[in-house]
Amino acid sequence: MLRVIDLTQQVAGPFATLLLAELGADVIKVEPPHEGDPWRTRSQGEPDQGSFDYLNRRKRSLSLDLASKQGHALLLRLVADADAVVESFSPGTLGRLRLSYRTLKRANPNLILTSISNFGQSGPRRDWQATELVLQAMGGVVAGTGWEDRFPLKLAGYQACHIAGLNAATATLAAFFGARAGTMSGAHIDVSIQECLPPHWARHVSEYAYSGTLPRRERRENGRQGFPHTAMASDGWLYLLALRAEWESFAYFLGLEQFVTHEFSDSATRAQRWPEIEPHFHTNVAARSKYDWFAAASELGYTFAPIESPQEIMEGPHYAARAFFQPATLTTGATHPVAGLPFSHSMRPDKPNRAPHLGEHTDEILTALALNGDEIRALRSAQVIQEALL
Amino acid sequence: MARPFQPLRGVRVLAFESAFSLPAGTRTLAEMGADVVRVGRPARNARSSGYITVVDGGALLKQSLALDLATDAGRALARELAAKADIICNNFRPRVMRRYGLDYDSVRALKPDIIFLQMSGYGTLGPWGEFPAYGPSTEAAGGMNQLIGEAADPPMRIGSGVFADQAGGRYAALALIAALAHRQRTGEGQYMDLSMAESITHLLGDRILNAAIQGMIPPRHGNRDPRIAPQGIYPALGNRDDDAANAQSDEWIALSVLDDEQWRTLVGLIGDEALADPRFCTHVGRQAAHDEIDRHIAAWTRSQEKDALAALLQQHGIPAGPVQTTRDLHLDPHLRIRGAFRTVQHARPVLGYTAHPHLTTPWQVAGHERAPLTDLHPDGADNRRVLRRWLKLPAAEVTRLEQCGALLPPAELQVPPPIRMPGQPVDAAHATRLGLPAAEDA
Repeated sequence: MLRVIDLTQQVAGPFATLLLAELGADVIKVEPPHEGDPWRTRSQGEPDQGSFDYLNRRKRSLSLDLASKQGHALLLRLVADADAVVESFSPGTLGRLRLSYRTLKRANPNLILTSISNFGQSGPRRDWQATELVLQAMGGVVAGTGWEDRFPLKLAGYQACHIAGLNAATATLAAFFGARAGTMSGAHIDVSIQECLPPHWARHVSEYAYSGTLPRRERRENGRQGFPHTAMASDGWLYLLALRAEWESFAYFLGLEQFVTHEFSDSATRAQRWPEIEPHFHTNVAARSKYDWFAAASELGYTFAPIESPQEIMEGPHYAARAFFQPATLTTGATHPVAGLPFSHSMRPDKPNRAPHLGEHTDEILTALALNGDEIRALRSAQVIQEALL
Repeated sequence: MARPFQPLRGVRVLAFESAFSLPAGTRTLAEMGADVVRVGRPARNARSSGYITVVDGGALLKQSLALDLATDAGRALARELAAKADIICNNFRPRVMRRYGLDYDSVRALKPDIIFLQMSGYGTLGPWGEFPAYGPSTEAAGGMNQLIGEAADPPMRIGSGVFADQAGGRYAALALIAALAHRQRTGEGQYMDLSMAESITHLLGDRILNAAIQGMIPPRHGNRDPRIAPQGIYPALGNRDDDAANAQSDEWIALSVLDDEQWRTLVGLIGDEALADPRFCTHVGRQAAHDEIDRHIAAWTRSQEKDALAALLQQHGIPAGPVQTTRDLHLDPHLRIRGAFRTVQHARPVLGYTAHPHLTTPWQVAGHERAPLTDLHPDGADNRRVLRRWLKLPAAEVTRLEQCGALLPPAELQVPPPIRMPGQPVDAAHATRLGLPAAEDA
């Protein structure tokens, strides 16, 4: 499988190389000596504890000072033998490190370079500063998320960064396949995090072009289906989705048969007189478990779903039957279940399901480059590399 | 213009697909040069080219073969095509493919190294395997809703009907390309079972692990971040020009203050004495008084245009950006220059215009143009072309298959006007803003 030199830090880039590593790639995570990937320390407090471990499993860590002459030369030797370099520096940084695509390509003419950045390598906003919130806001989806009477809401976690990483992994693998198939050789792929979110509401984005329709956030009381999309069941929140449902059968299903009358037959009236229906709706939903509702709705083709907490997902029977979570040892030494890829497959990664300690594989990687013990010790005393922090 | 980046040229994909999830994935393959044949719904006479299909764009760049799998001859033809495919994928219930003799075991007998992807809401293995789902249901079950919104409110859904469809589709593209690379190296095909709910959970994998470490359900933080204060989405001056009279003003700006220096810069820009309070000098102090600070920031942002204000904040090194609506994305000068949209020329006018913009591949490759998008092919439009290229069937034979019912004859593309939700904001000037070519100009 492919060999990747991973210069990425923080979230988006490591998510891309995580996907490659999970699919069997040999990923060498190149980290600056001493501090390493800043996400190692940044993610230690709330709300990101565990994020570094999640993102860097199955990778090998090489501590290497790219700014030093020897470090630079060693990197080019690694690149000569790799299929891809993935980086997530701010645009222009790679050039300042004398590692532009042209330079890298001289070391390896078939190299794939994948650059991940907030706004891409070109354009008027290339150098804008961003956070996950800013990227989500500028990429869309956020504008339509939330309550109509409040500000728009951010999606949970690092959706912008993770989705960018997903796209970066896909493009990198495709280029790797193409290089082997002979349809191309070498490529510099430019992934903009901002651009990766709009496709996730593509239909709504296009809808503006076709009809001028703009998205609207949810009304608090009864939403666009004529009833709330979320209500409290006996054991937690239930998500109710019943596209194209006939009111009559849907009302019977929810035990609201008293509203199956001529009076309530049109949706405008139901919306107007929702306050009459509302208490019955909530009482009835609360009378059953969210899992019972889910199963019963499925029988009728309604696509309800339980709103699951992380604990319910980790402990629930469905994910367990699929063995979606596998135990992983964290850099703190604790072991927890960690999400695997969302598809079954037969590409077996051979690296362990944990993140490496800083510089853990430095000696092994340099030895494979035919450096001897004396040379490695000399690099260490020149601070080009660092003692592994185990 | 340099040719597009097409590393998957020559890869043959037979896609039994409907709705938006798998189509998003196979369109990604088509953007990279794969030969994707969309078989559509297997049921007789079920046509898949309504308004939503056109607008979604999931069928762009694909060829359409209208096989009728309810007929013996249709199923026989499907098996002949399967033997020539590199990839077979579907997002129907597994029993549908079994019924038509197109499940993995049957297909593998015809093509031992076939790559076969089964996609569904929850994955086929496990107690929820046969439950029907739309994308938003899988977001709820996959863990997203629980973590969106403010602590005092119920969980919130994502304001997109296709978020999980796109996420699942993109994981499908990754899975299929990885399987192609694996087959290239080992000669082995494989079966893959993809779950949309797990796609969401994987995108939240760090949150889930965090919850495991903390031993508690993580609180909903709304737009805030325990390490960044202030951070939020604040009101901006509404773009109420005459053309958009019926579109409510809904303009917002997102901003984050990462450290004390950025805070001092922001206070200087706002010029509000109240914010110079020494309590706000530290992150801890700002976090404790977040609501109070938000009121002062909102009072300042409310009267300013979001793009200009974001540019001003950026000039001063503060991360900020407009909350972009679907209209803003089309007009975003940065996305325009980078070519995030491509124009789709229609064979016949759609809703009065001869072309519309669609989002294309969200990456650029140096020296290549972004993937151009060709118009949706109506059902059956490529019956001849596909059967000639894949099976070398002469046109007369295709006509015979159409007559005997194995294939449905090519359909006309009918695009009825959209059904609007009551109260849905509509910008009547969208065509002018986007410079759409009206049919009569053509």
